[in-house]
Amino acid sequence: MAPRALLALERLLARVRARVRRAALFEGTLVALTGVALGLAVGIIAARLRLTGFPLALIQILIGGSIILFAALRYGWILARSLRRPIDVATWVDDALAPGTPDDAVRFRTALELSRDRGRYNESEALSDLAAKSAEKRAAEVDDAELVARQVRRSQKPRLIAFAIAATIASALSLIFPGPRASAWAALTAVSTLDHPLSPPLPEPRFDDIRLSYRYPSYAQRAPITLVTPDGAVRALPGTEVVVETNASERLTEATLVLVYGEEESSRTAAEVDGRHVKAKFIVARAGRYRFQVKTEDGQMLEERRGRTIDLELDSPPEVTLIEPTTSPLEVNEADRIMLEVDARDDFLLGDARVAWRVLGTTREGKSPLDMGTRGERRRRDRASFDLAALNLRPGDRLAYTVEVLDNDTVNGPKVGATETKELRIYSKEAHHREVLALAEKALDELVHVLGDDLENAFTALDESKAYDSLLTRATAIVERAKAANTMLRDAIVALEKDPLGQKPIAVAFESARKDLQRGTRSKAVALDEARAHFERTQKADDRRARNVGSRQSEVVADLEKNVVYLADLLNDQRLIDAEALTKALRAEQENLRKALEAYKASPTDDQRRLLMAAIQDIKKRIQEISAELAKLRGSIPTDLMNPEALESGDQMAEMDKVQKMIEEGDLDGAMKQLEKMLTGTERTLAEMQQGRQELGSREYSEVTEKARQMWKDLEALEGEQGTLGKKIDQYSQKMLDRMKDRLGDPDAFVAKQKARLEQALERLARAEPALKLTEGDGFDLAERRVADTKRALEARDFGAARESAEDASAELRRVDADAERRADQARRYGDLFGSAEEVERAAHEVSESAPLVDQVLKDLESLVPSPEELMSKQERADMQRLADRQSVLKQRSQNIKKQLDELAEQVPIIGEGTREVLDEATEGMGQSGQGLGTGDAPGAMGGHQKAMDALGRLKDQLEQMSKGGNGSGGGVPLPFGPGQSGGEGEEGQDNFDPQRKVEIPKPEQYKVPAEFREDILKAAKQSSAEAYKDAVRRYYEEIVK
Amino acid sequence: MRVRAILFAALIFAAPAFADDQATALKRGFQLLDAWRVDEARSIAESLWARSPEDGSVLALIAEVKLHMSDYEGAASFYEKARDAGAPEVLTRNASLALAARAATQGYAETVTERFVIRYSIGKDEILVPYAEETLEKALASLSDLLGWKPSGRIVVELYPSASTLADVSTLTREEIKNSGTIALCKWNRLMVTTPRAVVFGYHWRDTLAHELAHLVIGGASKNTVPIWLHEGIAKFVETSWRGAPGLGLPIESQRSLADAAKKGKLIPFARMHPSMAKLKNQEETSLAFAEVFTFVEYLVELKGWESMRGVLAKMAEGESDAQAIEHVFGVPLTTLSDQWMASLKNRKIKVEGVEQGADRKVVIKDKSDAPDDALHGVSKEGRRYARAADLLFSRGRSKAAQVELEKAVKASSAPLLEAKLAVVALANGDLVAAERAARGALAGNNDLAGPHVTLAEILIRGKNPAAAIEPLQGALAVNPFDPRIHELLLRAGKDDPTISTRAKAAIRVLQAPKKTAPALGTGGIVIVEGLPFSRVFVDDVATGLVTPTAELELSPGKHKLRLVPPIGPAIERDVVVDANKGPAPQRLAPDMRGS
Repeated sequence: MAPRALLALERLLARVRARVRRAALFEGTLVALTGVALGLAVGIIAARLRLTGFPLALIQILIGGSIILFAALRYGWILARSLRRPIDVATWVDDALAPGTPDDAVRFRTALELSRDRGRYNESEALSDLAAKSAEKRAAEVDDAELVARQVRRSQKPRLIAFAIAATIASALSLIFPGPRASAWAALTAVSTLDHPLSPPLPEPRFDDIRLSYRYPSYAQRAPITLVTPDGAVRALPGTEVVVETNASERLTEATLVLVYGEEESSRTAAEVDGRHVKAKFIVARAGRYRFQVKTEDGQMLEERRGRTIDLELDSPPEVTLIEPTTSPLEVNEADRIMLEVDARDDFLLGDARVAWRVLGTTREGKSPLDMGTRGERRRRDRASFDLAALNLRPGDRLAYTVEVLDNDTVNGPKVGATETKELRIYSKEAHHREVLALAEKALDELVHVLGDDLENAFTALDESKAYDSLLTRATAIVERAKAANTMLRDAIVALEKDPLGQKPIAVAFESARKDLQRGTRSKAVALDEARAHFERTQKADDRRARNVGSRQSEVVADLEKNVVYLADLLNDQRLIDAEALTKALRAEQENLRKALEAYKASPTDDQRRLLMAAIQDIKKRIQEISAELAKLRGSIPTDLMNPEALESGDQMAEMDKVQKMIEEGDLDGAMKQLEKMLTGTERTLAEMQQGRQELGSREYSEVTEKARQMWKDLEALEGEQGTLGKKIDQYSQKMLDRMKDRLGDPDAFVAKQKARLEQALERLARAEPALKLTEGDGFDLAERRVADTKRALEARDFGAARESAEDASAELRRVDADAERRADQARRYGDLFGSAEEVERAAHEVSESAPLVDQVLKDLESLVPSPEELMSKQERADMQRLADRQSVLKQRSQNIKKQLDELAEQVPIIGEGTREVLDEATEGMGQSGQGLGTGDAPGAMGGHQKAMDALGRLKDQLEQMSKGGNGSGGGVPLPFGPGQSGGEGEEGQDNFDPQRKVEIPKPEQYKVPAEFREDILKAAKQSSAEAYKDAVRRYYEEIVK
Repeated sequence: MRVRAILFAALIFAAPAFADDQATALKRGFQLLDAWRVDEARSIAESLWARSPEDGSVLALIAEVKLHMSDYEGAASFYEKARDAGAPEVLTRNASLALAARAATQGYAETVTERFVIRYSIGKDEILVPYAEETLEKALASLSDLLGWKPSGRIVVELYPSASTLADVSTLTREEIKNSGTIALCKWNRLMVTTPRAVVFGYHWRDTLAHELAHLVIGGASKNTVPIWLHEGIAKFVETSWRGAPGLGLPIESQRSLADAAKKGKLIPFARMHPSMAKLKNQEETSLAFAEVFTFVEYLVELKGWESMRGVLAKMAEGESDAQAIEHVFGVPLTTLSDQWMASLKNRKIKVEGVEQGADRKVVIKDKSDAPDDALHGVSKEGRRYARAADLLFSRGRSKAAQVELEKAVKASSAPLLEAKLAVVALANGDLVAAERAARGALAGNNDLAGPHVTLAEILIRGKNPAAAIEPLQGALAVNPFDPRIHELLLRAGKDDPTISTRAKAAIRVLQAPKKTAPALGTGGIVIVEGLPFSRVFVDDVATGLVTPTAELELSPGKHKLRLVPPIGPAIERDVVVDANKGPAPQRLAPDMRGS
């Protein structure tokens, strides 16, 4: 049988629960209000009794607060928990109904339980159903509203009474003691904002609007401002001086400004009083409040209760953004200068910038100033270098850094804005160097393979077309490989140039090899294209074209044979230098240890011993590192230069262990002996390395060294003698200049004179025009125009143009004159067919008269540029001829040096085409000089001389740079160019090359006549020239000296 | 030495303390040392010491005998004792030489054979020992037959790791050694030979050993009265006797040069060859001088055979001068013989059979013995460039291209070294024909290069003819046995020959072994070994370099195995116990060595 539903009962219980909850809420509120009223009453009494201090405030809070707390807990529990389950509500209803309930009436709780447990305990289901039926019936009869009201009324009544009493007392006390009421109320509501919540409050004064004058701290760079506000709230930067002015409602005799910071801190300062006017001043330091306490003229003390707020205006730290570098981690060298670009801004002004750094994994950290123009700026984007050299970084260090920019807050101290933290990885120069060498080695490998390919695939015409086609394909592949090798070489060269531990000649040599390869490959590719094109057309090999490819291939092979050997030697030399440097480092470590041991022997204290043992640990670590590096090198240094056993340093650690053990056992002499043995071994290794380099140099390059030395000597001698010759040429050049200036005279007079002649000529031509001018553009017209052009050119001081026009005019006039004569003759013979014979004759006469005038002008213009014969005496010209002969000898010597260079270039590819071209320039300059001297043109000779000297100087610079850059202790692959190298044997390794020195590249005009000469001419030209014609005159004289 | 003996005799006769017979014995002892009769001198020294162990002159004689037995430590110690005991200065003047030799040869290992004591620096030179032993034994047998004398005791042979060591232990300067190319000496009853490691591409070190041994035999046979030109002539002539016949040691080119010099009248007078060939101006002069004396001896031997040569030496041992002895034996004056020889030179037939074709390669001494050789030493600039490009190609696996380059190199600059390289590369390319052609070409140009010998041997082995490879490998061994390929190939070529295999394996082991140092005998106990006089002392199989009675020797306290090797006869071993130092006096070890 299905259980019987208790629907009526459940509805009843739901209604009852809702009513009871509402009643409980009301009752709880009532209790809480009773607490508030009681608290207020106690507070008023306390205030009235002028009781102050924390204990009384506590009583007030405890009384009111405890009642409120009680209400909250008790009624909160009722609301939340006690009527949560229906069974609890049923119990409550059963209890409420109990007094009038018949004995047989089923209790709602029981009915619910029976219904819940039906069948569970083998009870009678019929009985259960009966109970349910009965409960349902009874529930329908219950008036829940009446029931709840009856029950709640009993509980609420005493609470209402209590509240009424408390409220009455509080109200009464409030009415009777309004002051204490305010205090008490304030104590309850604003206990955190009053200095003494329960002290008896003074009456509050009343003020007008408040006038606030702000004077900001200087760093803010703000002008003072004044504001009038009703609430007097202050908002300012720390350090701001605030002047508060207001008027009270009564006349005052004194006033005090009370500043309150936080709970306890407060200060009082006297305010200025003038009648009702009050004025006070304070400096904003922190956020807080201020208020006035005043005394009226009738002696009453008044005080503001809450006062006015003081808020701090926020001074934000600068915003800083790192623009560059963006890469992180960025790999750099330990002594690099890192360029940092930063954008910084501040709400006020920026201060200095700096880099805050920390070496990761260590305790090393610091701040380095940055020379960035941020100070005093509101916003700045700037670059500055961060010098790592000062940080004593070591290869492999990782450096976290951030750029910090301060603001200019001098009151609270500058605030710091910082960029995000980035990382620098201190690249080991040595590691970088090794990578560069590996790159160079790879490029060299590729060059060797290109050589191998060429040697294994010698190009020749093959009869069998398939085989020839295959050969063409292979040759094309080799060309492609060579092009790829060119790219690899480029990469290697860039790396080599940047390698601080590398030798400059290596980069130069690689570049030279690259150029050779590029040139050879291009040439071969062109020949190959031709051969292939022909083959594709004819399907036959063409002998001539195949020979051409073969010939180009041979050139490539010859270059490669020369270059690969030289490059390999340079790399080997570099490896030996590297090994030597490592061994020197090892020796230095051993020396350090010996010193430490000596110090310990001299003073065997515990401290010294500790130092010594620490030194041993350090050196062991270092030896391990160095040994590892040496081991790597061991595999790459050719065994024909150095015995690989010499680089074995495996025993070093074992020997160090022995030293350590001896020291620990107190055998200092033994330890010293062992150390000496190690040092001797290291010295021996070092000597072997140096010998290896010597071996390389002497085995492969002794002849080159000698030739290079001789060539340098010859070059220096040639430069010296050319310089001496140049001084003599200069003397003659100077003489010519002076004489030319003498001849020039006054340009204005010259122009006026020529103009007069031309005008006269033009007048004559104008008279002849009607008879002789037939059409526009005929001969006469042309002649007339040329004369006019000459005049205009003279007016413009363009003597060059004037001369050209005069030449043209003269020629045209001769033609016109001849034509006029012919026409006059015809007229005479054939009548007036060609015009009046008389007129024509007159016109011809005019023309013939004007021609000499133009000729004269031309002659004068030509005399402006005199021939050397006119300027120099016979003796002087003879002397100059001797100089020309001398110059010829020097030119020959220059050509001889070129031969020497060519020979050297055969063996040392570092001497490239460019170097030889520079020498060609020198030779050419000498040729020009010789020619100038031969024709008596000293200024021209001077230009040639300058060109030669300049080229010789550049050549020397180039050669010096080739030979410098890390020859170290001598040996190796030398090129003994440069100062001090021409003195013969025994002057090795004096490296005074300054890598910072720039080689000045001369401009083309420097090959021209000397600057002083031009300047003198131009000065002369400027004399007496009308302003408008200065440029024209200048052009003319420039023409002269060209 | 002779001067010193006279001085010494004067001193002896002036010394009343000596009995006449003792003084005479002492004098005789020194004279015998001067006459290179060390075995006899040693006997005298032994008996004198037994009678007068504290006498300064006797101590000096013992020091001198020790110096001649290569016990430099003992010699230095006894010179000092002799000085302290009042020995005249003239008798101890070799003390500095003993000190220098002691420093130069410290820690040397020793191998004792029936007739020789071979001393060498520990390390790679160990591989020379079995070959040196073989050479020396053969040479001693042939030389004693040819020259009629044989030393009774063991002969000390020292192999020096560098030419500078040779300078340290001899009276030659480094410069003289470098200029003359002298790499070996025979003096103070020992053969002093520089290892082939110290010479660029090595040298004919086995012939040189035989050459120096010949000097020793000549000195002994003649009681050291033979002038240098004849000394060198005989030695040079007989130096090849160990490997075949005498008279094969003058290469064809050298014979041609001699003929040329004879025609031009540019021969070097014999007188200029005194006191040493090593003191001649340069290697060219030295080479010519050797050719002259070689052919002079050849001339003498051809005239009257080896009996005559033995006769000359015997006459000189009896006190005749070289001229007298030669005139005595040949019946004509030396000057006449010399003129006849010179005349014969112009028509002398160039000896070809069994003789090297090229000229003597100039000996280039390395500053440091392990310094690597310049594989292109002396090759022209152009040839060098091709060859070096070939090296770069070969090292990058482009052997075919490398062969092309080397063919260009050989064409540009015909040099045995380039052909040797070409042979190696062609072999790597499997081009056996080209390889063999190049290897034989290289050897034709210069027979004393180990490289082409090795390459040729490999070609022969690859060509399934291993037996034929033995000969070129022996050629390589005779020049520069430090190339491991030689021994690896010997293992393959001579696998049926136990001697070859054993030696090859041993050599490979030595070459692959890590660097060794002299084993330590410990410290804490100072001893002097006295038993069985003039025996070489070994402790725990480690050569001490000392000869009984020894100088002070430091050993670790405790039991040791003592082995004494007498000048002649088998070694004797005894266990001895060394006590820890208890005072300044050393412990004296004199075990009973009789009846082992």
